[in-house]
Amino acid sequence: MNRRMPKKQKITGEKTAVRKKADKRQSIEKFIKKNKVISDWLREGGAGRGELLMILTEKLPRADRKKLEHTADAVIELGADLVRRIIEIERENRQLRSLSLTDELTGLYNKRFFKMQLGVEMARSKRTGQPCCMAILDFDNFKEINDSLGHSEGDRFLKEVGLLMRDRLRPTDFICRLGGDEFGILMPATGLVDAIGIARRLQQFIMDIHWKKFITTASIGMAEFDPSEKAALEEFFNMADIELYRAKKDGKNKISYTSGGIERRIAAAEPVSLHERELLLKMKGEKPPK
Amino acid sequence: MKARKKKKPVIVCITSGKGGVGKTFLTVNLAAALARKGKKILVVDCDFGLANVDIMLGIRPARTMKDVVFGETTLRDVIVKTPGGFDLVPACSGVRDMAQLLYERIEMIKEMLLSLEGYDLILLDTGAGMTEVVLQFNLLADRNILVINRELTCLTDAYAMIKVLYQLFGRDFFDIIVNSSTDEKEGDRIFRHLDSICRRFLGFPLTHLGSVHQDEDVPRSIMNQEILVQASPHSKIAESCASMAGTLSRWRA
Repeated sequence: MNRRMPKKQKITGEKTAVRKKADKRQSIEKFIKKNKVISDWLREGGAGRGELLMILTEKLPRADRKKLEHTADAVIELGADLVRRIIEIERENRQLRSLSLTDELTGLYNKRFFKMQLGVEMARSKRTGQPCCMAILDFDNFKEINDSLGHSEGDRFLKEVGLLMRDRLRPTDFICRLGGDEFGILMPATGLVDAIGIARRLQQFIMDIHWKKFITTASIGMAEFDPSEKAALEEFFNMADIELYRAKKDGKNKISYTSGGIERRIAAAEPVSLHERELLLKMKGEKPPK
Repeated sequence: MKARKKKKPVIVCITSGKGGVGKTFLTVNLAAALARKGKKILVVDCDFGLANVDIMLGIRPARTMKDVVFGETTLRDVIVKTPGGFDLVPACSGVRDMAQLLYERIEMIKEMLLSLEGYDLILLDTGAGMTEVVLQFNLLADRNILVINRELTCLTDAYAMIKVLYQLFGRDFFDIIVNSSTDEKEGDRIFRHLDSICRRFLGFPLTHLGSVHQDEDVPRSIMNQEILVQASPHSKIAESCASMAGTLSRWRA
């Protein structure tokens, strides 16, 4: 009996939450039905009304208006030019959304989007069993460009090279600016072998750029997500980051990579124990040489 | 004349864990001994960091494994005939990215190796160490030969290799060659020592393929870039190689 208790509690807990939600919706619906202005407008709004709930507030008592402010995207006065206002709000929304997912300087996606998409791709990998790869690319001598040509030139470099890199990737790949001169590349449904090929091509392309007499190189750290492993998002991201660090340490213009494969399995294998070692070394003691 | 059926070659990987144990010397001589028995043998130099089968044979290959890994060449195009009567896929020395890059191509190379026809045996001469590439080649092979000698570091490295291959891939069948032993007895003793530890801790026995004795013929033949089995076929070492080759020739994939 005792064992069942928590289970039961949990169910009722969930039910209450569901009921609460339903209650809330019902009260709003009831409220909307009562107000002819709102229901009229919503009917005209059609399918999109769920997305953008705007309330025209003229003729509404103050208490009702307060209530609505929690649920609606916007509460506007009836006197305002409705169409213009909708367009404006839509535009604002879009801008807000895009501001938070794209990098201002280059127009590429930003780190936030990268991490979001990484989560999506990792989940997809787990579902389909196909690996996915990510790479972090860092320019080796960006500081030189910045220092000798000025920051505006450095910015221009990042923007143009970033967009050119994007053009050199496959349509399914994502490239994002993670910050500074660091770029993240996400390659869905791609094994390490292919991903390294892509990284190599990118590296070659970067080497061929002559930016006002500056020749640039890039270091790339890569990691493959093995769907059978349970690496968390941050862990996977860090794997690539560690590889980037290793690539930098190796010298410039290098690619370093890791996979969830054998290397880690070797690390996980039980090493030769002290006891085994001791016995292995004992042979000489049996009979000294010569 | 027997009708020759398409036969899958037996892939044999020769490893040691520690370097400088005599893998390459043994590979070359075993291959030559097998060739003398009329077998079609291919040696693949898998030591990509520091290749040396070609040096041991005194040949200068125009194309190497490098062309397979970096270029569009297939394994078949790289194969060269050697004075030892066997074929060779030479590796290239000192290409820094090679070992790393090979990992990417290992699946492709595996497929190429498995699709080669007309060979009785393919001997893979791996590099030292327990790198991913070395393990991959060991995994690919039908049989694993470990070369050991009396050095303690060599024994511990060989044991570590056996343990990893057993733990990771469930390999529990290894053929041991004891190299540069002073006599038959010592060779036996070194083998039994490793064997007893394997039985005790890993639960399976090892197979003693043979012992090769210490002889000044060995460094001399290496210096002269000749194959001992050919240059002095009646020497003790050549005879040990021939007897091991006899065992190898009976292996089936």
